[in-house]
Amino acid sequence: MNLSVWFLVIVALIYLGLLSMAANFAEKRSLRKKSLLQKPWVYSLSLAVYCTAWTFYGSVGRAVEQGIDFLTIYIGPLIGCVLLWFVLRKMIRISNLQKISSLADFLSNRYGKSISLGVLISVFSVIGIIPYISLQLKSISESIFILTDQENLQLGSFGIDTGFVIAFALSIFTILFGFRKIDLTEKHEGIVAAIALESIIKLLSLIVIAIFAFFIISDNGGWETNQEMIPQKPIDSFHWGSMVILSLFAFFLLPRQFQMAITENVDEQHVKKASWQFPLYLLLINLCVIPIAIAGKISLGEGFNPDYFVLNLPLNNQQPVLATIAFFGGFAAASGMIIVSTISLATMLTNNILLPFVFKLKLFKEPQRFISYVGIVRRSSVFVIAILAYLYYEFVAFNNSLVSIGLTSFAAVAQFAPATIGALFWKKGNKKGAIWGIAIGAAIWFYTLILPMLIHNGSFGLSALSFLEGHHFFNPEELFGIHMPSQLSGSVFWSLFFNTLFYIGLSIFSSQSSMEMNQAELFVDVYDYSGNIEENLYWRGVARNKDLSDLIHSFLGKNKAIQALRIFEKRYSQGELIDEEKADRKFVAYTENVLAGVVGTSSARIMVSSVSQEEEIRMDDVISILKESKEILELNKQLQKTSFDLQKVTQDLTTANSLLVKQDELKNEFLYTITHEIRTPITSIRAFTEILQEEDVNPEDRKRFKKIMGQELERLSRLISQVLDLEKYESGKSELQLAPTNINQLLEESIMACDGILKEKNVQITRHLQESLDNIEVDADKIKQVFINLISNAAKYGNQENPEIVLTSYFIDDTIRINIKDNGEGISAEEGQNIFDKFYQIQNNSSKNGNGLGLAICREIILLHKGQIWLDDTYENGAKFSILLPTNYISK
Amino acid sequence: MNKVLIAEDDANILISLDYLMRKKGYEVFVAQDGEEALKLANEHRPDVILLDIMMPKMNGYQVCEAIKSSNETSHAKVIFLSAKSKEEDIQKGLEVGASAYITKPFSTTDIVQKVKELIQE
Repeated sequence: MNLSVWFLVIVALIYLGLLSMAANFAEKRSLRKKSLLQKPWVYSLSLAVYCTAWTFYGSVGRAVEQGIDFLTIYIGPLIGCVLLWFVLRKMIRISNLQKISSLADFLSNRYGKSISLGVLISVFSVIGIIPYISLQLKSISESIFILTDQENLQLGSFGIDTGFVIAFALSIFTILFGFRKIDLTEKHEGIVAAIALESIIKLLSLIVIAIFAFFIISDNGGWETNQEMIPQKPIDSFHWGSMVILSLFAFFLLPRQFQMAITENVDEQHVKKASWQFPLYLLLINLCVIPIAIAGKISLGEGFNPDYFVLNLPLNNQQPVLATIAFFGGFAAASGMIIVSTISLATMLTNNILLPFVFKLKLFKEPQRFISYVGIVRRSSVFVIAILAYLYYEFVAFNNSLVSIGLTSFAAVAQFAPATIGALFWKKGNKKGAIWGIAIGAAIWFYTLILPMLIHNGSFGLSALSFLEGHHFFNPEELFGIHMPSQLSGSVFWSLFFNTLFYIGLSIFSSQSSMEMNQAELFVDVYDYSGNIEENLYWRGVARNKDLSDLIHSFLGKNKAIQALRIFEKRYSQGELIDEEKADRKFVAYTENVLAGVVGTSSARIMVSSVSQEEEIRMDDVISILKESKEILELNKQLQKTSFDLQKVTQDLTTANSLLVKQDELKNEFLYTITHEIRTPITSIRAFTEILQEEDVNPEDRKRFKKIMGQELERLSRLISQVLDLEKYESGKSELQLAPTNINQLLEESIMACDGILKEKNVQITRHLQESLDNIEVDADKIKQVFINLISNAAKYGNQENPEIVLTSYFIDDTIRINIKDNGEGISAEEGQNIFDKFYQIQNNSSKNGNGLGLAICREIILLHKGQIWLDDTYENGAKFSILLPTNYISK
Repeated sequence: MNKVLIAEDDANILISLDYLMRKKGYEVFVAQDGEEALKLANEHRPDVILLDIMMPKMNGYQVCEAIKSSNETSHAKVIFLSAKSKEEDIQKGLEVGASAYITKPFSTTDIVQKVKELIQE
């Protein structure tokens, strides 16, 4: 079955419409200060631009031919994710500081703001990535061919090639959302949102196809029987190693990855989340590959290109909806890569090649129109890239699979790795080493990977190849006559070997300029320097404020220029910059930094030089300024620390003070409560004393009153001794007199002691006592005091009609548990919270015999035994107190 | 015969006050919580009420307010008897309409004198 061309065109247009909506939505949100970029998952998803049509279609092809080999290019990024915090965060910090928007800018900045290095990297990036972009175009066209079953597809009667239409449509989208803002270091909200959406779409659609594949597999005997469909080749460690290294480098250095991971990053902290979210994404998308490969082998057989099993599987099983979903996902994967790669390549092309050339030759005459010129150059660059990609796609025949073209690009960007690693971690790495390393690496890359491809395609005639192959030493496929496991791994090995050799060798044996040294310091030790670049860069020469602010005006436009100048004036708390005055070095560096955000490092350099007379900087000056800046930062940190310490001390003091106030309040309250408690018995005693002094009290009353006075005196002395007890426990002055004790016997003694009240209230006692609770080390007198207190409480406040107290004791692990339950009204959970506080008395307690100290003392005693006492508020038929006593208490 | 209501949750203090008031020839009613006190006040319309503040169910202030806000009992003179001796407690007692505030431990002569004064007024 086939789908119609127009249908697919509409699907593709719908997709682009969806992307535009997402992009518009994101840009509107950012205007309302609710930027989607603030969300870490959006960042993680945008990194998934790594997965292109190569992943979407090509992995299955690779799996069918090579088995699990397809995984190699994901292992690199997985390792990369472990390094994200150390490497990527540093690159982000540096790029923010220096207003860097591409790898070319990054390296040219590091190596002394070298224009030639910028040109080299940009040109080589374009050469290396164009085939990769055309690969995406190819995958889109081929997917249309497959679904429509037409070769050589043309739209309508105009004879326009699909590849061209797609390239054109995507360029428009790129220009609309990629270069809307003049400052490149400003974030492309729209693009990032579109790419995040794209990542979701390609993942979901691949999952859908994988599920479909799963059904096919289970209909055909299941997983076990079909496992061998996938070749199980032994792992060649050299090949695997070189693939892992390639993909690791690519993950950081591919222009589109740099764009998403560094230029579009808004928050270094997002890197943390990305370091597990992105691997998760890779895992999910790779889990889909094997089922699709097996199902394809089962239901498609040999006649189909495994690179497009993802499409053919649903198509040949008469599932047009699924086939459309697959097309949608593949289109998303390819177009996402094209858009972001085009932006980044166009940026490099503009900033590192075209603009420096234009400015150097002073081709733009009217400064007030600089912005629009820059815009025109950028937009044209997008078309240049698109046209180059299209031409490559159209005229350089593809005989290679999706994967091998992609890997060629990987091998190209890997050439930037030695210089980048050195840029981040090795201060001695210099411009000469970087330029020569990359140039030699690029040359070997071309000689060993591209040249053979061109020869095989017939561009040079076969005689060329046979000539080269005849000379063993120069055979591009076996350089120096050494056999490598594969052409690719050989190329990677030799190119990186010489690249690194030259980079390190030349860096060691040649010297750095002072500018390079300055930047090396700022890159490698970026965390040690202040966030304002102008404080860290040395500059010597003569420039006028007016010329510099004019430059800012011509590149930023009036509003943004005024804003930028304000920031500077505020930062150094200067008044307005005076036009005619000589600019200080900070303003020069600041201007250059601001311009770099718009036109890139190289052009900014050229523009600033054009309005100033620079003098040679001495190494000592650079060193002293760096030292100064470092010291300032150090001082700031110390100040911050000091003020933090001070804050902490203040806080501690406040806490201590409020604690004292609280303690004071508690003490006052305690005294107040005590005096109140003492007043009650004293009131009775005084009243009766006065009454008895009268003579006409009859003997019977006299006797009764004396008895009451006796009770009240006893109450008073009990209260006083309890207060003293409590004080002793609370101040830790009380010691336990431990002796082996039988707990059950202690309970019996306590019941005896409460005999009076138990008899009075006619309380029934029920015992559930486990035997052999003897020889327990406790302070018998004190524990007995606790039991008596709880039993008499249970009698006093328990049920008044049919009072019953249930006593339980048993072993539980290394502890003894004792429960004392009554069948009264119980105590609410809320009151249970406070019941052990001193002087706490239960509200609405009709018989006010207690003084609120008994339970407080009980708690102190149990705590002293390292046990626990609590009210079990889950018990509903009365009040239940529980005690847990450790049996292994050792007081010594 | 003049009527005196005594509301006090401590049994022994209650006994002493009961004895004192009877001895002076008043008709005495006793309550051990706030609710009971209010009930007795409504039933017997006492001339003087000796009122403890910290009592179960309803505290003395609440009882006093209720008594003073009812036409049938508002004539009763209230004397607070309390262990609460802070200035603000006394202030509050007078605010809710009490005629006197005597702190515990009290002198029996003071009480007898005060009750007599209030009844004569």
